[in-house]
Amino acid sequence: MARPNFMESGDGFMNETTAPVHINTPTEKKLWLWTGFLGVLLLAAVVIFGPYVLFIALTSYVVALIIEWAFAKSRGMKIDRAWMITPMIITLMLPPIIPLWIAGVATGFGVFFGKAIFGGHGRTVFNPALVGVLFVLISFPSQLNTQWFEPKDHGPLMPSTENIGHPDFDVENDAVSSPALLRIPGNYTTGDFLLGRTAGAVGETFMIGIITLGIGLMLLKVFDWRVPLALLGTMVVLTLIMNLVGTGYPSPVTSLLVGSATFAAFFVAPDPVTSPIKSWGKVVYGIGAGILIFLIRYEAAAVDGVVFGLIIMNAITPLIDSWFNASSAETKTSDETKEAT
Amino acid sequence: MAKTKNMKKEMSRLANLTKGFFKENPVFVFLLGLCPALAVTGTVEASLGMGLLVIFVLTGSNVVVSLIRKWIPHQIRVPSYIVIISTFVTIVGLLTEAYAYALHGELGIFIPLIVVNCLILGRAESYASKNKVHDAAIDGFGMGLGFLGALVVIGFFREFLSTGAIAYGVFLPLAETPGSIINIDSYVFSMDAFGQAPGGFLVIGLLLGIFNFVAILKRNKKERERQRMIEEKKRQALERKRQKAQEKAGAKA
Repeated sequence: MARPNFMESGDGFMNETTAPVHINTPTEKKLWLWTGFLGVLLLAAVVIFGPYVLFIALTSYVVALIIEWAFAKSRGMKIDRAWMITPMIITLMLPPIIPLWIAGVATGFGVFFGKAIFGGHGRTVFNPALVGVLFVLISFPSQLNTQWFEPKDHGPLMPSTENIGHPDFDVENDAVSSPALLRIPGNYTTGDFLLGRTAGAVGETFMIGIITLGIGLMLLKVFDWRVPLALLGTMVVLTLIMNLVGTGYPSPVTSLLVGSATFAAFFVAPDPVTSPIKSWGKVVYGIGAGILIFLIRYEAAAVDGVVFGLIIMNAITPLIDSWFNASSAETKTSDETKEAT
Repeated sequence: MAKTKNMKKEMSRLANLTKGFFKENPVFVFLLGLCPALAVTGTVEASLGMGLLVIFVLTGSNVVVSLIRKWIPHQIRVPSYIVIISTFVTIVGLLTEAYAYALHGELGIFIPLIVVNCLILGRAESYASKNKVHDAAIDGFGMGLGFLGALVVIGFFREFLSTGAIAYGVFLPLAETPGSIINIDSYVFSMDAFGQAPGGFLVIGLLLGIFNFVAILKRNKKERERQRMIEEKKRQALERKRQKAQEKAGAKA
């Protein structure tokens, strides 16, 4: 009986991978800019939520580097040049009082299943950070959906003195759950939203920073401006219509200020590797993500539809590319590709 | 003479039985029967039950197909196999409903779906319809055992990762035992995602990767050995040539 084909075609298994790199893989300079701008948001989160978020970031980076190093070693390659971006995004998308081991699981799963086994940066189907966050979102719903911390009432948290690696916070009594926040955003003023003194994930609350840094990244040509604009525009239009027609929907501006939609629209969705190539494809991608986020957030059981919506849009990105006759495989051997492999 | 022939036959029968365990494992090598392997492997119990049912149906259908293989017209062989298989599946379904109701409740729709399990149809088509009855029976039993083993391995990993229990809801004796060094409530770290459908895909994919990794290592080793053999032979031939040349030179001198 003949053996299946995949047994014969495993020659590049332990060697350097030869799969083509995405045509839009960002250069190392752009990756560092991206990470640096996100680092500013992390510093803002330290001021808002307290130094515990630094522990989360540290855990993420340690886990990610261990996995990247192991894969690089086993394949005889240098460490992936995009090692710094995934743990940073994961840190910014997790709640600020998350147990450290969950941050580790998220990073480990994201880097291993989302990135390393596909062959590293530029060859991924899904954004690795989204994969990791999605995994912990499904696996640990109680820690991810109901235990959020309200900085307006408590001020920045200090790490606990007796239990190292855990914030000084009574999860049982003082945590708030996010579904209520997404629909009726409590007693926050617009100033609270802009300065980030609201409950939410580490990086998603500081709106002034997110908007200015996001626009800055677009001015520096790290990202295309079409994806965020299409995504946020779709959400504004949909919430505007539903706010006029139905009940229980927040105003369009509030819908952008709560949850991680704005953060993801500026810093995660326009990731060049996992979004379409052609301009109109990017618009379609943004509109689709906006519709999905709106539907999942307000009509489905899942809490904040951002991760789900973006993962689904990542999955159909090749389809969008084929509608606009674009191929993501790098055909010419430019310096860019050499550097990537 | 007769004894060696007999022994050879015995050996081949043993190989026939064990080939389904690793070398031709239905799930990890042929990727057959993935539907139950994804759907019912949430716990070890359900995997074990499904594996046992498949062993019974596979052995039975292989025997019957092999018995009547000469009377089945070639054109309608697949419908005939399906009728035979569904007979056995009906038997199994009624038996589990009568004597193992809990298992019937847990497996539910996946018992009738054994009819369309590609593993059973595949063995009927590729083995039972070409071989004698006892060989077909051994093949069916061995392949069923391989399937059962694969399901139990998948079920073990999925149950352990999704609930923290090893099997049958038994936890590792790590939690809250006075005086022990490690105090871990393993269910605290349980990852629900592995109990759901994506977890099935992930676990099967990882195990497949390990299987392929081992197979590739083995193949590379074999290849290296073959290369060494070839080089050895080349060297010997060269030496012989040189010797001959020397002899010639010596004769001339």
